[in-house]
Amino acid sequence: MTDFGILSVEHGHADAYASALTDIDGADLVGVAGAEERDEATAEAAEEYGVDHLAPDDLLSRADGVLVCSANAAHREWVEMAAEAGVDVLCEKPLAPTVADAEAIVDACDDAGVQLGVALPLRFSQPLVNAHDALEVGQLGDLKFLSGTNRGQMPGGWFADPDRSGGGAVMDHTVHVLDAVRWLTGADVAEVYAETGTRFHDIPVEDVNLLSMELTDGTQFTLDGSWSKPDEYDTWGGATLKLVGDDGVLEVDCFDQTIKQTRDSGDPGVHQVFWGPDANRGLIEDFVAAVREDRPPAKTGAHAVHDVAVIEAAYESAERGEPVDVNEVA
Amino acid sequence: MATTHAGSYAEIEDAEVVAVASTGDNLESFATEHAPGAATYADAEAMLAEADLTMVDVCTPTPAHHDLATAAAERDLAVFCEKPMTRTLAEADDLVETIDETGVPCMIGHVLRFFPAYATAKERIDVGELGDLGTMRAERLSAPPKYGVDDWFGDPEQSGGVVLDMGIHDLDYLRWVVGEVDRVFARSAVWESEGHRYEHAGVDLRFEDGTAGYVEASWGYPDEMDFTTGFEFAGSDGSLEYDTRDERPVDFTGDTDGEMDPAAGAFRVSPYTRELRHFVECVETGTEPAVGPEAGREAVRIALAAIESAKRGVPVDPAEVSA
Repeated sequence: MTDFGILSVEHGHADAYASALTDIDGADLVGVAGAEERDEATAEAAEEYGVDHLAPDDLLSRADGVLVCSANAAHREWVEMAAEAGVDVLCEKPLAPTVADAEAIVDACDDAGVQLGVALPLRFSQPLVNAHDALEVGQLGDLKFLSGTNRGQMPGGWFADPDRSGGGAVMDHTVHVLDAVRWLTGADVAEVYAETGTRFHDIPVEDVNLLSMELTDGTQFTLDGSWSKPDEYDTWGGATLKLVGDDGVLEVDCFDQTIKQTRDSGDPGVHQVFWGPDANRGLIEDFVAAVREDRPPAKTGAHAVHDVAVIEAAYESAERGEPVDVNEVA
Repeated sequence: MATTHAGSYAEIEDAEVVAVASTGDNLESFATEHAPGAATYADAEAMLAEADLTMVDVCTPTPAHHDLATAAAERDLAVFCEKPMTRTLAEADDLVETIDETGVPCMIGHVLRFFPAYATAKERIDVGELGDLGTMRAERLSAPPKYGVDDWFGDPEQSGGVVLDMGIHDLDYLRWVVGEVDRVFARSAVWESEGHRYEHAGVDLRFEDGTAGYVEASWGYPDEMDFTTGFEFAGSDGSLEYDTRDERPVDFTGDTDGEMDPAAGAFRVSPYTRELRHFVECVETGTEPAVGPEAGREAVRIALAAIESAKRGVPVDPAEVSA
């Protein structure tokens, strides 16, 4: 049995990861820990997952691997604590709000000799896996243009608190499709132009996130990662990617495998019920295997530093009103 | 487009196509099939001089729009001109001036405003159902048109490429819904395949009121692609989404036996007929057409700003477009 823990349950994804860990054969979720000031929420989560609520030190002494699901600004503190204890880490995305923090996290894990992964489940989204296969056999010819979306509802809470999140929609909804594109193409982002703003909600961070990028191989890549979905939308949001090649076009909707459900009571209204293969399950299986085999997870912390550089460049572009070379901030 | 318009005029009680001018080889066969009884002219000037006309409908490739529309206006004829109004901004300025001086009725074929789904979305936004607009997206996706005379669509000197020829529909539409554009930033990929020019473009727009927009226009799909359009508006109080891929009011499985596909367009009145009927009424009653030459010029200006942005790699203020 390989033992896992969750350090901070502030990010809502902790629930899905806990459920996957409970399900996967040979993996055991031994407990959750959190910051003292959020003891109550951590205790509630422990009860919900049916595991112990432990002190961080205690959890780290019992776990082989931990998931860090804190607010973005606290990632560094938690990951460094785990690294010091010699425990492998899967960190919620984005790795950190700044390149400096991201690099410090990677260095700490390197120095301690622990594996560091970043939770980007779209690599395990079956529609994107199909796209990966199509590219591998050359069905699209040369890629020319990529157009993605990753919209969502405004998550509120610490996500809208710039001190704890590091930023709004740009910070939260850039890296999923960005990582998918880097994984699919093998290219990085050379340049980014951003149109941002706060248009939907009365919050101190941006909820508009329109990016226009060029990859290092010259492919054009646009992305709408706004928090533009209404609170009453029939699902949380979604992720899509259009891949335009000179020999074919592939349009991928990661969350189109749904049943339409209408309820008169409980949570009334129309809902999309997703039935497709669970990408979170794939993500956690990969991390469990990485810990067991002492090999890097599919998405490493080192690879994620560039994602954070793209975010920094996007903010810089919005500030300056012109496209920004990602190398300038990296 | 001439075929579509001729079909529409046949449905409009007060309109009759009495003359057709074209330099194309198909002039006679076109007239026989789509405008029976109309006089035919190989030279547009001759038609303007000899035929008894009230209005002229310009459906030529883009570079000829300016001269033909000008010639018609100078003969005091009402002018309907397909989009884009002109190939260049200088031509647009000149045509606006000519229309102003001659005072003839003039309308530009931004037909999207007459598509019920697009008009309905604007109505909902206008009454405030979305709150303050935050982001907008519009898509227009197809294979490159390969049917133009001498493949003129594939020549950017003539057509301006996918943004000026096709993206302009959505640029005009979003401007109609929201207002003036402050800056645009565009990326475009262009490639050749089997002798045809392919292009896929993405245009970020920032409107003066702060709304952010994105228009994607493609001539980058293989021929198998059905023409696809869609839009999405998101505001502080809700959103609107439309995608022709989800629209299947009639679905036909079987052989059409050369007859009309029963699934093709479930419109009682085609948007093109609504558009032209509106203009015919304007000509008859002297009322202002819905899309005048000033609007036509602004759409051209935004499209040219996007093309310039893609070329230079910087955001461009449409007001700074000069050529």
